[in-house]
Amino acid sequence: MSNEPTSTPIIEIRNLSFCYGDFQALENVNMSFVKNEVTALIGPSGCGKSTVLRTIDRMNELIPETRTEGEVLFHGKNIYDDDVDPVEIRRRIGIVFQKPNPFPKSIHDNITWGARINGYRGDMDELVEISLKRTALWDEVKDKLKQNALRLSGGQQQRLCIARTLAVQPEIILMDEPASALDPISTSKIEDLIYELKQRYTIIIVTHNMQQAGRVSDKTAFFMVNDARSGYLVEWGSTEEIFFSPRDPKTEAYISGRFG
Amino acid sequence: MKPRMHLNDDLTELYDRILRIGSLVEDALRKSVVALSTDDEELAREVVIGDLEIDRLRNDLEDFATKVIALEQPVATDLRELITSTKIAGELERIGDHARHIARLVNKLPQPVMNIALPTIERMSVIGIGMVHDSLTAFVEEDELKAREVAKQDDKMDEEHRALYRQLVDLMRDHPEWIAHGVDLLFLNRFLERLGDHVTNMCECVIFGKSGEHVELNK
Repeated sequence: MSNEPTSTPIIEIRNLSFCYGDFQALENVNMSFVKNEVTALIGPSGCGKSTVLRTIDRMNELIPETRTEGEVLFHGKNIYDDDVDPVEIRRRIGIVFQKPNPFPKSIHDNITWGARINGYRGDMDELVEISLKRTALWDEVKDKLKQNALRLSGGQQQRLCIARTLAVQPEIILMDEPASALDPISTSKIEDLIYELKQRYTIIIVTHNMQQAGRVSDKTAFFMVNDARSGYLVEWGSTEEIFFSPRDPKTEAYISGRFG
Repeated sequence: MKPRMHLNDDLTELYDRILRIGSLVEDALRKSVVALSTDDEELAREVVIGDLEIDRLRNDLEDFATKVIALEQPVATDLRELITSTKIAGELERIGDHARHIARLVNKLPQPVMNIALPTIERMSVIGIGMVHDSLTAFVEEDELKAREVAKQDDKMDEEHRALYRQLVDLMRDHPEWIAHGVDLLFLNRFLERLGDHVTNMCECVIFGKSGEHVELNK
């Protein structure tokens, strides 16, 4: 069902199951993520791909009455161990959501906020510049850093949210459909950005856009759900393989749009 | 409504286009050898002109497949089948060229020379036409096993090719005055032998389309 990773994984998911109350959303997921690779999680609505994503930075436990079983190893250490601080995990594993959600503050403050509460002692202006340059937003906003971030376009807001994530120096960036609310030009900028960012970060992206998964990712994981089973991992491997000759007929049916 | 109805229709049309080219190529081969054996220059001309139509249909098929890729963004088996179709159309087009080359030799060779070569040429053309036909059936039916069987026929073509080659070398040695004709026939022998290779390539394409595996048949 799964490929053996070719190098040491930065994240390894072992026997992961997840329940919202009585409802089991994920069933026994096993997979891993390699440093500086982009992995796309694909699958129909309700298959658990976003749940997997949120499990990786312990976001699910913010929802009441949920239960996580199994392990998520980050550099070999289970992030669900009692001695792990979830806030520290969320600093090292950043997340960007579908809808851009900048703070209703200045562009400058959006970047420095997280860094400040994390005790960053460096030059804040420099941090703002580096973060905005890494998301290719600097040239567009350098003269209006005091402007409210909500006045930016949707695509700019999303790149600002990514910049805000970078400012706390994470190792991993999770993206939950980061371009689904954006027009094609902004989408293309986000995709270019993902390509740039993988030089420094490990990226896991949930997307409903098959072509986007094909364009941006090195690995692709396909999740499924049906009446008999909770969300489960059907197949994962190199994106090339998944989109050119997948092993499982369910993967083929889904990616070629012949699902159901 | 079935999923991807539009893409399914496009793929069906692509298959129809391949079969149309395939039937024209089979016809061209048959006619070229009949023209050769009956000295029918009119029929030979038909083959030469018909080849232009095969070339045009092949180009149209490539344009169509490119359009489908651009508009439908197929993946996995669909994409492999599209790529395979264009490759098969390319092989068929080359076979059509060989039929034209054969047709160009009509009425150019003296009877005693033809008498030596014709039985082998006719046998090779029958095997070759059968191979083209069966490989297209394997393509349409996505039948990997059949594709492998068809490719095996290429051994027979190679045997005939070797036998005729030896006959022609003997002919040229014994009758230096017929060397020019002998060389023409060596080429013709080569065209038919290449036909078998093109069909083998088509069979490899069929297997790739179905499985995604690149195979080398008849190494």
